[in-house]
Amino acid sequence: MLEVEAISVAYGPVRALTEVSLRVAPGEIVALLGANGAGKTTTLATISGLQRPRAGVVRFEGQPISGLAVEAIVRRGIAHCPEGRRVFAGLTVAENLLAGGAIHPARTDFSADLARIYTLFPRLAERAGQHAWSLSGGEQQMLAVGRALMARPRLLLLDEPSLGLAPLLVAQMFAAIARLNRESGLAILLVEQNASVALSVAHRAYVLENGSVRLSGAADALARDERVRAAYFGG
Amino acid sequence: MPQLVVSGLTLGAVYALVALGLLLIFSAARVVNFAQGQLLMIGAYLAIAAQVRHGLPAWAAYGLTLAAMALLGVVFMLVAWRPLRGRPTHLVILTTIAMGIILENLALIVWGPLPVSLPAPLVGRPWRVAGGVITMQQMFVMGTTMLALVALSLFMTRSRFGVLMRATAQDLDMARLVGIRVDRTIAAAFAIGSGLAGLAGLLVAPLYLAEPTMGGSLGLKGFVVAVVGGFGNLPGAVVGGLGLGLIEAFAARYVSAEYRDAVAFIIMIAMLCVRPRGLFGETVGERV
Repeated sequence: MLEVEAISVAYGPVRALTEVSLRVAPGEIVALLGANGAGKTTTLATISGLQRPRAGVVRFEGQPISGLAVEAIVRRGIAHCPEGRRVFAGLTVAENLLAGGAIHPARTDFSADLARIYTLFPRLAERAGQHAWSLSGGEQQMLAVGRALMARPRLLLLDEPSLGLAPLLVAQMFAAIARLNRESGLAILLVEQNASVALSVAHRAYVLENGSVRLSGAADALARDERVRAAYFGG
Repeated sequence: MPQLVVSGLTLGAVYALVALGLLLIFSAARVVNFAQGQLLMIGAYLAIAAQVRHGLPAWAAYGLTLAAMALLGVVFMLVAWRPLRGRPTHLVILTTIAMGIILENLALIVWGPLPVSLPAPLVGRPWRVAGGVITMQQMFVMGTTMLALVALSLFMTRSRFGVLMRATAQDLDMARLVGIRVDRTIAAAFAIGSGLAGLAGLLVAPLYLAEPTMGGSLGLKGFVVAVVGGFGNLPGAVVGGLGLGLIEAFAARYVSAEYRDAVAFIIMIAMLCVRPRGLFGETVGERV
């Protein structure tokens, strides 16, 4: 469904990505691993249109999308839940979710979407009327994911959902990610620094190093790979 | 003394309307529009042109003025904001100041330097209340301001478009990522903000005379009021506006009429020293 073909991205003279290729099939969770600065976030930003590739092409469901505006790409069915959560701090939880459904017509009935999000993250239901700035880091992450789901995407780009969360919350977040994929067949491209937890839910993974794909393969095979273990499991 | 209260509150209501427009534009575009006063002046002249020159009935002249001002707001956004999107804020602010100068000089060219007046739309006997007199126009100004506050507050918090506008203000890139067409929400904010300036203009023109330079001080007072009210708080802006109107009226009567305009800035500076978030500023994030 998603084909990234040999994209190269540069910030001014600095090369961020060199001929990165990857694909995500329908119903798949694909992890994108790598150290800080390896180009994971840039890859997601290029797919969602925040960055323009200098070369290469991004195709979604057979159509090239690189070059479309950000607002147009989310309408094609790709929701990007960016690094650092980026919830709308001054809006309430319910308003954040409403904003997440911005691409749908004004009279859309979101009750089923909200019910699904609140089942996935019951804490959000409890805090529906609170401002997003008053939420804990874990709750903000739940809200960021819930907001992305409101667009009814077919592909979800998730950037570092574990960042800054306590271990218990990380486990809950990844359980929710696995559940989303299992129950609705949502395809997910997941960027993570925490390789072990990412590989535990992913079907396949790519390892980025200095802006290039270094390794790729089935998640369980990569989890056993000596090079991955050495680089990302701290031993 | 009651008369001072009435005239202070009336002028204060005009300040409040200027501040509301300022806040609405700020709420979506994150830019303080320093041409808000000049937009007010254009609104006053458009109403005069429609009603006095072309002899339209007041309601039609007012409707046309507001529609034209909303359109002018969109043009303003396309000229002064859109090309500078993503550039440092001070560039946009300087551009709005330049737009104010341009509008003022355009008005000088088109309508000339002499003050002109707009007849009050409602005629009727002034009310006598507690030893003071309230004219129909003064009632009309205060009532309209309150109505504008209620309508705007409901729009920003209850309507989906208002929520999307606030989301746009808080994080432009994130707003685009969820698919908000940010150019539209920001254009709408400029249209409403400019419409509010026009409303203030057609309300103030029957009370004082309209002249091309009338916008400068009204625009700055609106800014003062927005700051004092806690930039981003709509009811705060109205309370601040009415308060400033009152204080000015009393200061002009009992302290010094010459220093009337200085009072506003003394208040603002004092507020920035003592309570920089303003009277009703919130501790975190939210700027409606």
